[in-house]
Amino acid sequence: MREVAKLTVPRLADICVVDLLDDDGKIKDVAVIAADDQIARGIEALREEHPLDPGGAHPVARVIRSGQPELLAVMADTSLRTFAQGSEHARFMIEHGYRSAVVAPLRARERTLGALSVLRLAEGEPYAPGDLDLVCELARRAALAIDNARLFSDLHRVEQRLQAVLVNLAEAITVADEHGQMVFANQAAADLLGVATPSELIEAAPGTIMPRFLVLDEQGEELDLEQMPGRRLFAGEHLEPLVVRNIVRATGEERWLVVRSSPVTDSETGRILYAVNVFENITEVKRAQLAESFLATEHGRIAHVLQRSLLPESLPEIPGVELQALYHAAGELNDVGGDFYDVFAYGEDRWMLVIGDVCGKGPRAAGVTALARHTLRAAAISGQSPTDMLSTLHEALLRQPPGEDLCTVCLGMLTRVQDGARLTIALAGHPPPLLISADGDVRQAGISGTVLGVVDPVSIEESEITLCTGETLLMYTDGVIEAGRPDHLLGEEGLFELCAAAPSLPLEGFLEHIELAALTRAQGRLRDDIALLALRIEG
Amino acid sequence: MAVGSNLLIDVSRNGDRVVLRLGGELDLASVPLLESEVENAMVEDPATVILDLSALEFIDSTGLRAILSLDKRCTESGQAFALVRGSQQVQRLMNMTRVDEHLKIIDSPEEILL
Repeated sequence: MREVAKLTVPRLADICVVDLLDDDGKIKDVAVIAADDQIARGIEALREEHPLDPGGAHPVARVIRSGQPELLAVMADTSLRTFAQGSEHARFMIEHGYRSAVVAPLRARERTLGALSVLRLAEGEPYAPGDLDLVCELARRAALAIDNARLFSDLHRVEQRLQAVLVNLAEAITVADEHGQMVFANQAAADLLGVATPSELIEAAPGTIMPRFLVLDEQGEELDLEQMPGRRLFAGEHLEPLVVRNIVRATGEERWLVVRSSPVTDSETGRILYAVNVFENITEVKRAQLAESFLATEHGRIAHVLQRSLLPESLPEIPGVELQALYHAAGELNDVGGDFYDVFAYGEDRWMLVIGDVCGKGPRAAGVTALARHTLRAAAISGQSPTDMLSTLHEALLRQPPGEDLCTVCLGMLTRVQDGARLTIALAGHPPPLLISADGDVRQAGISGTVLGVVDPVSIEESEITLCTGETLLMYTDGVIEAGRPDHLLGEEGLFELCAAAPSLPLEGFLEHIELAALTRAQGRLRDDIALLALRIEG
Repeated sequence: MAVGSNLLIDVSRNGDRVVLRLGGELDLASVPLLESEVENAMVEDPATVILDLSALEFIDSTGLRAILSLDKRCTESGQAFALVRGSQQVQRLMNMTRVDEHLKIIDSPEEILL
């Protein structure tokens, strides 16, 4: 710009000013050359402080708007004032004797880039129409040169940036057009897609490379290539990065990738020209993640399976008696708890109902639970009374190294009688079962006995109850009454109240009613398992 | 004073008698804290160990087991062991499991001197 300005001074003008438009449409970027350097600095300062208003009366602004040159042969002070950008500007122009000017638009490639102004001061001869043509010609050439220079530098800058980026990225990058033809690929992309060089990718016809791969989503569902972000872009969709599992069909080799695609649009029409696809290899990260989650799940699953195997698959049918059980484990999948229950038939028309609680959690507690269930079954089948069954279990627990496996048990031996059932109850350290009448009266049954496995000898006493039509018996573990501790403890009282509602509820619903109350008290987080076993005489 | 997430233990010594006063909850989570305090107390080889449960709000089967362990340990090493009676909930468990028939239960730490 300065070169252009220099051409005109001092032969053609005392001052030459080049004003250019910036991207925002403001008149900026000024080059000023003047015979008197002080004047040049002054104009630069004025432009800085009082930028020309693109919509204003200043000749430069007018010429830029119209695209037509102007000859201001003689400028009187009054006219100077009309287009001055403020009083300071006006004073400057008047003081320095602005006399005559030609302002020509700088136009190239059908766009106005700015304006070229030449000025003569006081003593100089006023410009004539011939001068206008000369200045316009100058302006035309200048504009072209300016435009070329800009384009060149823009392009160069972008290219450099792009190169730097692409070369240094480890990610695979491809650029494809709307037909799926690859127009650009970097080496990482070539490596990823199993070819030697990027040119092989570019030279390949669309649809010849991708079928080599089986592409699955995170859930293992096969993905159509049309579903890939780079393709859906052309349909106008903007997608989130997609995690895919890319399998080489020929070798089974697998890679996990994150695919991100962005559009390259034509700045004039807005049409999407290309899709730029970036593939990030996350195979190692994904494998580590999967291994971790598999282990956690497997461990949890194993513990869970172990726990489930400690509970009966299904409850036997007792004619005339409805049976329901409910188990709710507290804590994580990994925390195998110690509550257990069992119902089995043995001998003639005889069933044993068992509910118990082994102290603690984890594998050891699970082991003791299994021991308890099976020892009791074996003892029952061998004809032992409930009292003897508990003693047998106690002995078995004492023999376990290193000892101190506390276990509480409630046994109910059931035989059927006219219009109901008789139960022999034996307790060992366990909460007494609750007998609920058809009217909702609740009372405890059984006599307390010593907890098994530590204190020796143990004291067990049997007692008998009879249940009639409509009556319910509930066996439970202490997790129920301890729910909500310490501040919202359900307690025995709370459980009694819930039991009063039993006659009006179906048996399964009754147990769920209790479970819900316990969970509510505990605000969803139980600290101990809950086991419930109930029977009701059918009418 | 030792504090776990839900258990407080206050240890006091009077000659060859040590009293561990519990507050809060003695359960699966807090038993390790009790065991650790017991270890510390046993270093001095006290003749009498008292577990004061009067301020204990809650105990479960693991807490019970810890107490029974302590009882067994004291018996085996010739130390006297006693429990100061706890709240209703605590005593209910002691009663239901008939552990109260097995352990020495007193109403206050001073009683042991009688």
